[in-house]
Formats: sequence, structure tokens, C-alpha cells
Amino acid sequence: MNTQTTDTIEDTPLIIANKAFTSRFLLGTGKFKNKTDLAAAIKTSGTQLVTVALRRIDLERHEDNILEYIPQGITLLTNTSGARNASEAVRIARLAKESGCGNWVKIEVINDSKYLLPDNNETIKATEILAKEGFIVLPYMFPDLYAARALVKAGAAAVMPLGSCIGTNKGLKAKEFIQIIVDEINEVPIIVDAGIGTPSQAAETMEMGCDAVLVNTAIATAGNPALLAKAFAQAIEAGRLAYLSKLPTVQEKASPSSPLTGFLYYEK
Amino acid sequence: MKIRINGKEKICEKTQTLKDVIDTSLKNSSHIVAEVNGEIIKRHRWADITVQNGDSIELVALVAGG
Repeated sequence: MNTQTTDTIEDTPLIIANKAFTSRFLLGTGKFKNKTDLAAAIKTSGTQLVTVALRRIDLERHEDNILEYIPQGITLLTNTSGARNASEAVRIARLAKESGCGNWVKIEVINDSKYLLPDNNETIKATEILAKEGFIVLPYMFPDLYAARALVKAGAAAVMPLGSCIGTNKGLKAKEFIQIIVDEINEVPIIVDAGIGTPSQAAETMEMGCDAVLVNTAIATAGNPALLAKAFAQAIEAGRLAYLSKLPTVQEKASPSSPLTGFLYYEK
Repeated sequence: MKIRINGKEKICEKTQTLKDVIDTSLKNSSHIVAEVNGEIIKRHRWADITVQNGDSIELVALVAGG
């Protein structure tokens, strides 16, 4: 009898910059209808790493402090959204650090307002500057192997290629190029960020060997964000287990699953 | 004296410190970061900085984002 069950399979934690995470699910906090939905989704997702952004205060009206809705113990990753070049990203990262949320930063440099594609060149420049200053830098990037290598060399603590364009929920449109990065970059975790719209897409991302998934729009805009966050968490775990199981290869020809002997034919 | 706070022009009648400006602009400043002319000013220095004519002040905070 085979006594090995899933209970005996222990996954290694996700390690980013020497910090261990048992959850491989990063959650973005933007676009939620209200903070109650956000707090509920954080809880059901089991996430240990959430993103936030930095903006000018609206002097005309009181705004809640986002940190009041994020439980203690969850690592904050401030994004540099709004940055159009490396120097703007560096400025935002320094301001974020001053706000007391730590030194983890997601570099996001976008100067294309139609497709919202990240600018890899500026992202590499910002990564190099901030890594030298002691920031833990997780750059969001277009899935290009050369850029991924340059980011690692620049001191990135992870590489975060997009699955498809931000907010589209289209899934792994860039799958082949992400796979190349997964196969070739072994120094840091690969986290797919942007475009993942369903739990099945998240599972597929993990099955191909990615280390973690970052989701925001899909969950924030769902009818029941907390429920979908839970579904994503289970899918990410399922995809991870599938990857660890060493999935069998696809076969061109059919092969039976049952023995080809002992058939119950009627005797003639 | 004219200054800019978060891109909006403001007239100051008298000499003010950065702390004065922030306290009159916001009810709660416990979670904000201040920058004057592109330089981050640490909270403990807010009362030491006298706002000058033409200064550009940015008051920022963390918000929800992906």
C-alpha cells in the first residue's frame, strides 16, 4: 500500500531576500469597492505580502489610512505606480520608505498610457539605484530574458513578469516567454504579476514553475472578493503541488489507462 | 508669500514652519510624508523648517494600489 499522502509532502517556503513566506499569493490592494471587502480578501487569501501605492494627500477630504486595514505581520510592498521613468520611481520608493512601511518596493515604470506596458530599461536603472540603497526590489517587467538577467545583475530580489496587460484578466498571454525566464533564471523567485484573471490561470502559472502569483484586479472587482481570494489561494496551492509532483508530459497518441488483458468478452 | 502644496497654490500671510503649514492643511498627519522642493523632510525636522516664498511642498501617503 502506498502510504504517501499529500500530508507528507512539505513544500519549501517562498524565499525573497532571505525572508520566508508560506503563502505564494501576493495580493494587490487597489480597486476594491470598500475597505471592508479588502480586509476580508486579505484574510481569506492567506497572503503574507500585499502591495500598496503612494499618492498625494487630498487636502479637501479625509482619507482613511490604508495601513489600518492590513493586519500586522503582513509585509508591505509599495509600488512605484505613477512613475514614468527611473528617477520618478526612485523618488517614490524613497518617500514610501520614509512613511515607515519598510524597504520593500515593487518597481513599476510605465510611460505608455494605452497598453500600460512596463518600461524594462527604466526599470533596470531604478532597480540598480534602489538595490544599492538597501531596498528589497521586486521589479514588474515585460517578460524578456535579457531584461530579467539585467534585473538580477542589478540586484533585484525577484523578477515579476506580466502574464498579460494590467487589469485585463486575460491570463498567461506571455506564457512562452515567462517559461523561458522560469527555465533560465534560478537566482531569484519568478512572480507573475498582472493579467491573471481566474484561479485556473493562477494554477497554470504555478504548474509551469513560477514561484508565486500577484493578483489584484480580478479579486477587487469580483462580486464576492473574499470568496474569489480563497479560490485563488487554493488554485495557487494546487498549481504548486502539481509542479512539485513533476507533471507527466503530453503524449500525441492515446494510451489506455486500464489493463489490456482480462476483458469480459462474450464467448462465441 | 506664495507656496504650492500638492500642486495647488496657497498664499501664506505670515512666516510659517513646515509643521504649521501641515497642521493647518490636515486634521491628521500621523501617516504622511513631507517633501519640500524635492527633498524629504523627516518628521522631527518639520518644526525647524521655515517655509520660503516659492516653495513646493508635497504631502503624500500610502494608499490602496496593485
